[in-house]
Amino acid sequence: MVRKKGFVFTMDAVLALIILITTILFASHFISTQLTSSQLVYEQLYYTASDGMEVLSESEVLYTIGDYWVTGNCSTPSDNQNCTSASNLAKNDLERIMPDNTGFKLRYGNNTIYESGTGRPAQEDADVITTSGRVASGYLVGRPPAGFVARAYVVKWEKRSTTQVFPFSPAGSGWSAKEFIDEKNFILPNDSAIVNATLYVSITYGGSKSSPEFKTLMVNGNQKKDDIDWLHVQQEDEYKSTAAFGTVDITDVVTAGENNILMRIGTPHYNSHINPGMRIEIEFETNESFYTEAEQITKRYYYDELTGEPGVWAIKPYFVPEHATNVKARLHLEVDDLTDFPNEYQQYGHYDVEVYVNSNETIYHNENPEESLVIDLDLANYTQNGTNVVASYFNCYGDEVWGTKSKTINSSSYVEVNYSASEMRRIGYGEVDITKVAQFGGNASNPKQTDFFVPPLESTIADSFVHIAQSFSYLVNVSMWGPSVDETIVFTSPSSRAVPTKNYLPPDNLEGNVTNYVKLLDFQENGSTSALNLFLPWSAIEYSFFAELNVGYGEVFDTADEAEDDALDRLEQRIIDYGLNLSEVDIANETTSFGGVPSLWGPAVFTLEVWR
Amino acid sequence: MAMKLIKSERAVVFTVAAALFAVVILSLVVISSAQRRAEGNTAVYVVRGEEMDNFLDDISHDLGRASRIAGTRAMVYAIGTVVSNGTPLENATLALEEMALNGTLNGVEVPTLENHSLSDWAERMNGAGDSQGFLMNLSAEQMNVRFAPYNGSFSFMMQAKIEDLYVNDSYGYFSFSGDLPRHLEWRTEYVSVEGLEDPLYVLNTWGHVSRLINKSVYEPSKLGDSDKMIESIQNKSYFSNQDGPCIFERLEGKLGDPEDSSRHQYYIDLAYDAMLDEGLNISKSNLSIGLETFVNVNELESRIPADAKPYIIKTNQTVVDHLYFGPYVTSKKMTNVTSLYPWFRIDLNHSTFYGVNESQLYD
Repeated sequence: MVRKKGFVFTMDAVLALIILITTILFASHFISTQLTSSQLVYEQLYYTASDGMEVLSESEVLYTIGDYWVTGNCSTPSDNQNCTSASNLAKNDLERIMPDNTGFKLRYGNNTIYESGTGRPAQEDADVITTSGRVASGYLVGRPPAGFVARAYVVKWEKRSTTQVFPFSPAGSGWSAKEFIDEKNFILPNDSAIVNATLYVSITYGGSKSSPEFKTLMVNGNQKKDDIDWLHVQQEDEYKSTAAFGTVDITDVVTAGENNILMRIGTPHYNSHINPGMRIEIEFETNESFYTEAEQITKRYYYDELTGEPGVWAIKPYFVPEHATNVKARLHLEVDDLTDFPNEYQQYGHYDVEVYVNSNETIYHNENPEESLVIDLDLANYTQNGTNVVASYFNCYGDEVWGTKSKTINSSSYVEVNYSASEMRRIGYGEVDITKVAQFGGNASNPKQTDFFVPPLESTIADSFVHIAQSFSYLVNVSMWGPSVDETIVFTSPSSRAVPTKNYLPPDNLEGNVTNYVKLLDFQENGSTSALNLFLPWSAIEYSFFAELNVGYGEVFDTADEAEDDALDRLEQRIIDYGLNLSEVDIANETTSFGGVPSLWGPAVFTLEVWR
Repeated sequence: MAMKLIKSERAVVFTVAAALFAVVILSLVVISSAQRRAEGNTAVYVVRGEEMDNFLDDISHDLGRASRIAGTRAMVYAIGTVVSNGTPLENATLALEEMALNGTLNGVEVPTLENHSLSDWAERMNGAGDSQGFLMNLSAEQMNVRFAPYNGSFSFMMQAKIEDLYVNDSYGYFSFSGDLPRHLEWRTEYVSVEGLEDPLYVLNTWGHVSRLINKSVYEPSKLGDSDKMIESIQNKSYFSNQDGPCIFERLEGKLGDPEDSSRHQYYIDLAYDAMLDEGLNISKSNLSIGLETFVNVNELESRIPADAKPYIIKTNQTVVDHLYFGPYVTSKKMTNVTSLYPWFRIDLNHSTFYGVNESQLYD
C-alpha cells in the first residue's frame, strides 16, 4: 500500500513537472519565436531597401528621378509634369523589383516622390519599417542640375558703322580774282552704305560776304556751294577777303567706291585758299575691313589736284607715331606750268620753288625751274616722330605771289613714309579700338584751349590728334599738358600757313583717369598775335584707345537667356567703367554661352522606406 | 522501521530525480531563450554593419558625382579664365586639380568655384555622416584628384580617391580605416568636352572669334567628299586626330604635334597611364587624344580689328587650326571647296587623314 502511494506521488510530481515544463517551453518558444521573427524581418527588409536603392543608383534611374524632382521644384508628385515624371519613374522601377508583401516609399529629403499603394501593405499597418539612404551631390530643389554660363565681348567689325575723315590740307593761291582749284578724289569700300556725310568747308575767298567768288563746290558732279550752312564768317579789311567756315550735307551725293570733289574759289585782292579745318566726315556701314600692316608700315599721303593762279602752295602733313623706328620718308612732287621768274629772290626774298620740311629753312629750292618739274626728295633726315609738315610753294610765298598763268600740283604727288612698328603700342588681346572726338566749343579765340578726360580703366592710347579749325592762320603752336605732365609744345608751324588740319598729339603726354589739356596759339614771326587769326569752336580733339571690352563667364544660370543677359549687363557696366557712353561706342555686342554646367549643391538625401 | 525508511528514501530519490530533470529542462529553456536573444542582437549588428558598408560605398559613389561636377566646373572656368585674359595656363592639369579640389587658381580664390570644390564637398559629407551616426573627419588633404586626356579626344578623365579615411560608428560597433574607393585605385569619371568653348581658337584669334567644340557627325576619312568637307567647315566641326592638341594643351595654348610635340607626348603618356589604371591598355601609338577643326578665315576677316589682323590672318596656310595658328606649312587648294571658300587650303598630311585624294588637290 505504502509502495503504491509513493509511486502515485512520484507519478504526480512527474506529471506536474511535465505539464509545468510543457507550459514553460510553450510560452518560451512562443515568445522567442516572436522575437526572432521580428529581428529577421527587420534584417530582411533592410536588405530589400538597400538592394532597391542599389538598383536605382547603379542604373542611374535614381539620379534621373532627382533631376526631374529638383527641376520641377517639387514637393509632391502632382505639383507639375516634372514631379509626375519623377514619381512615375520611381513607380515603374520599384514596383517591379520590390517583393509583393512589402510596402515602400521613395523620398527626397522630407518629400515623398512615390509611395506604394493598394495591393501592398499600408505603412500604418506595418510591424517593421526599415530605411536605406543614398546621398547625391549636385541637387538643389528649384534649380536644374545643369545650367548655362555666358561671356560677352565687343565685336566691332561685323557690318559695322564707321566714320572716316578725309582732310583737306591747307593749300592755295588764286590771286587777284584768279582761281584756286582743289580737286580731291577719295574711295569708300564698294559695299558702303552711306549713313551720313558732311563736308566741312574752311576757306578764304571772296571780297565780301555779299559778293563771294565762290564759284564751284561740286560733289560727284552735284553743285553744293549754295547749300552751305555758314557757321563762322570773318572778313578782313586789308585785302577785303572773307574767311568762312561752314558745313554742307552731302549724304545724298556721296557713293560707295570712287568720289570726287571739285572746288573753285577766288578773291579779288588776295590769295584764296583752304584754311585748317576743311574735311569730309563720312559715316558708313561696310563689311570690308581696313587692313594695316603688321610690323613695317608704309603709308602714302597723296596730294589733291591743286591749281592756283599765278602761284600755288600746299601744306602736306604726314605722321610718324611715337615709338616708330627705322623711319624713312620721301617726297614725290609733280608740278606743271611753273614760271621761271627772274630775280624773284631779290624781289620777294623767296625762290620760284621752295620746299620746307619741319623747318623754316628750305630743304629744296629752285630759282630756274623747268615748266614741268618733278621733285623727288629723301625726307628721312628731316622727319620726326609726331606731326611732320611738307610746305611747298610755287611762284609764291606767304602773301607774295609772282609769275603768270596757273600752276598745278598734280594729284600723283605724294609723301611716302615707312617705319617699323615693332616698338609701338599695338592692339592687344581682346581689345578693340575706340575713337572719341570732342569739339573745343565756346567762342572763336586765339589762343584757344580745351580739356578732355581720358578713360579711367587701364587702357592704351593708340593715337591722339587735334583737328584745327581756323578762319585765318599763319603760324601755330600746339601744346599739351596734364596734372603731372608739364606744358609741352608738340607742334610748331615751320613756315607760313603750314598749319595742318590734323596734328598729332603724342599719347605719352596723355594721362589716364584725369583731365588733359591742349592749347592752340596762332602767332606771327615776331611773336605777336593777329586779332584775325582765330581758332574756331569746331576745332576738335580726337583720340583712339584700345579697350578690353569683354567679360568672362559669370555665374551659372538656369537658362541661356538669363546667362546672356547677365553677361551683357556686366559688359555694359565695363563699357561705362571705361567712361564710355554706349551710344558713343560703335560696336555690336556678342555673347558666347553654353549649357551643361553642373553645380556642386547638396548633397541631397534619397531614402527608400520599406515595411511589412 | 527499516522497511519504512527504505520506502521513503525511494520517494526522495524519485523526487530529486524529478527535480533534477526539471532543472535540466529549465536550463535548456533558458539557454534556448538566451540564444534566441543573441540572434536578435546579431541581426541589429549585421544591419548596422551593412549600413556602414553602404555609407562607405555611398561616399565612393558620390565622390564620382562630386568630382565630375567639380571637374566640369573647373574646366569651364579654366577656359573662361584663358579666353577672358588671353593668358594660357602654364600647366593645365595642375591648375584644374587645384581648381577642382580647392576652388583656387595659383592660390587665389576663384569666386565662381566657391562652394563648388571637392573640399566643400568633403565638409558636407562629414555632416551627412554625422546625421547617420558615422563620425569621420574627411578633408581636402585626404583627397587626391587627377585629370588626364582620354582616347577619342572628346572627353577627359577625372580621377579621384580618398586616402587614410577613418570612420567611426557612433554605436561603437564598427570603425573603418583605409582608402576609398575600396577595391579600386581611383574613382574615374569621363567628362565630355563637347559644347565647351575651345580656348585655343579664342586665344589665337585674340579673343575676337569664339568656337564651341562640336563633334563632327562624319568620320574624318569621309571628307574627301567635298560636300561633307563644306558641311564640316560650315558647322565648325571638330575631329579627333592624333596630332591635334587635346583640351589640356588647348588651355596651355599649345599646338600639338609637330609644333609642341614634347608637350603633346606628355599628355599621351598621361592618358596612357590613367587608362592603364582603369585596365585599358591601348598602345601610345594608337591613342588619339587630339582635337582639330578648320579655321574659317572669312570669319576672322570679318571679326578681327584691322590693327590685329596682320598678326593673326594668314594667306595660303592650311586651315587645320593647330597648323594655321603655327608656322607656315605648305598646303594646297581642294577641288569644289576652295572655289566656294577661296581661303581654303589643306596640307598633304591632313588631306590624307581626311580622305582627300591627290587628284582633288591643286596649287
